[in-house]
Amino acid sequence: MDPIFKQLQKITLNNAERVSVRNTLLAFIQKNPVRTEPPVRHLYQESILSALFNNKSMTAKLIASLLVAASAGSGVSYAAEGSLPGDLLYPVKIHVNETARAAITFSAESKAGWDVRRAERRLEEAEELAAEGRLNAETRRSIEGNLKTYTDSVRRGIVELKLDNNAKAGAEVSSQLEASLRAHERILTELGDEKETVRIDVGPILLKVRSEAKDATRARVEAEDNFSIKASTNDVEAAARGKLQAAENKISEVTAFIASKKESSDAAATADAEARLKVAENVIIEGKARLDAEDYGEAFAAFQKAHRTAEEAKLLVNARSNFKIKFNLKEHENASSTSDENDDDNTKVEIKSKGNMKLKIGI
Amino acid sequence: MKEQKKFIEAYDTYADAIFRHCFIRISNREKAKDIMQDTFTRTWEYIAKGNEIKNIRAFLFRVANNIIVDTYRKKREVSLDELREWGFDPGFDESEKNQTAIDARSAIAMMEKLDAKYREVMLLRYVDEFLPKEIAKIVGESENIVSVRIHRGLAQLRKIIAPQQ
Repeated sequence: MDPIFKQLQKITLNNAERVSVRNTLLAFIQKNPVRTEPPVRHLYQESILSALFNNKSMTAKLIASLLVAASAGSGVSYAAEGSLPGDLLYPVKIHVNETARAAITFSAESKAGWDVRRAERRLEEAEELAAEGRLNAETRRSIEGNLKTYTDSVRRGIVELKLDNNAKAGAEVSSQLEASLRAHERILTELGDEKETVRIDVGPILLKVRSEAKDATRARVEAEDNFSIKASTNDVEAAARGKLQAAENKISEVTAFIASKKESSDAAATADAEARLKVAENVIIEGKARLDAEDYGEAFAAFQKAHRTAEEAKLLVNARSNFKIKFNLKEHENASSTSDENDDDNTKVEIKSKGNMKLKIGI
Repeated sequence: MKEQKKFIEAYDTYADAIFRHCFIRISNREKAKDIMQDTFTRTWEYIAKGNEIKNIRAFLFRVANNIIVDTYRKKREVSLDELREWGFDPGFDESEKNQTAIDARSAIAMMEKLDAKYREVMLLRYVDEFLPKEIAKIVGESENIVSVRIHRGLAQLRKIIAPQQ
């Protein structure tokens, strides 16, 4: 009798079958994460009050509300959000709003992410000032100083994440920073192209941003390599599949965003954004091929690149529509200087503008 | 992330057992694999809704059984002979010796000669190695009835084997 049951117990899956179903399940659980909180749409709540209500810690709420109260009521805090270097309320924006926001981030990952956002805000301020013709030596100094503070902080954060065995978060934060810097580099360039005086004003900042962008690319490549070497194959695979989902979501989000900005955008700017999304989609296809080849580190890097490309498209379309930049038909030689150092071939896309001239975009 | 890790660990631990459970009852390798996969995806959906599972092994078997019952219901009344005609595919691991494959097939054939009620509890007891208390929960009967069925099943099985000896 025993032999009967022993024989039955020998029935098993073979390795190929087991792995195949496992992979299907991995993809499935990435697509359907555990739903304990409502999905977070915006990574960083910029309004202090909304950040207050979303955070669960009582102490954090207390600290933040005291800080806000100290600025003579929440009206000041809100008003300060739109201020620029040189404005009366600018110190409130930096030292009250942003500091309070930093006080209620706890994980190394979200701290680093908030530092990326702070660096971004400095660049947005620079662009706003440049567009208004208010960028001068003094305001420039303020921006450049702060920019360096936050990009340094991001770099330290990434190292900390690496040491904390969270190489994946390190790779993701590096990618965010890179996307941001490269997009803003382009925006500042285009603002300068519109007006000679603006070009002189943004010159020094542009140099700084360009150099930071190069550093960010280098850091991102290093972080991705670090992640794929240090982490287990399963973790890298899971990260790659998660990133694929994130990249696809991002592309949908940006597609909708571009459509919403169509009316307020130059036709060429819209076409440029759509072309970039096409590039992102192609990169996803490449990434999927790597997944199939079980090249999970490369797949993760590809999906990060797709996500980054889509994010850049969004930042560009947003800025171009806000500042009403006429998308420049001249070929930007500067563009190729920030190409991925890791790429063998720069992905180039040609688009035809209204005036029937061809423009090459180096990505 | 912790849930994902635990879930995949559960897969690594129990995928074979669930597959075997399904295959012995369905006798079609592809279908058994599908049901095994379905078992895990449905289990994940339950977890993703925010539910906690205390005994994942029992949970998986319960889900698998439900799917098997539904499968049989869909096929209406299927005789054991019909089941065998459907492409009874031994499909054992190619690396196994032929002798083993034949023995496993005849083992299944012998089990099928048992009354369904006895067969089910005996498989759960001796192949899946559940305790009578757990089997009672799975089949939805009292522990006493489970013990009785195991004993009667063993007796019947001895009679089936005896002619072979």
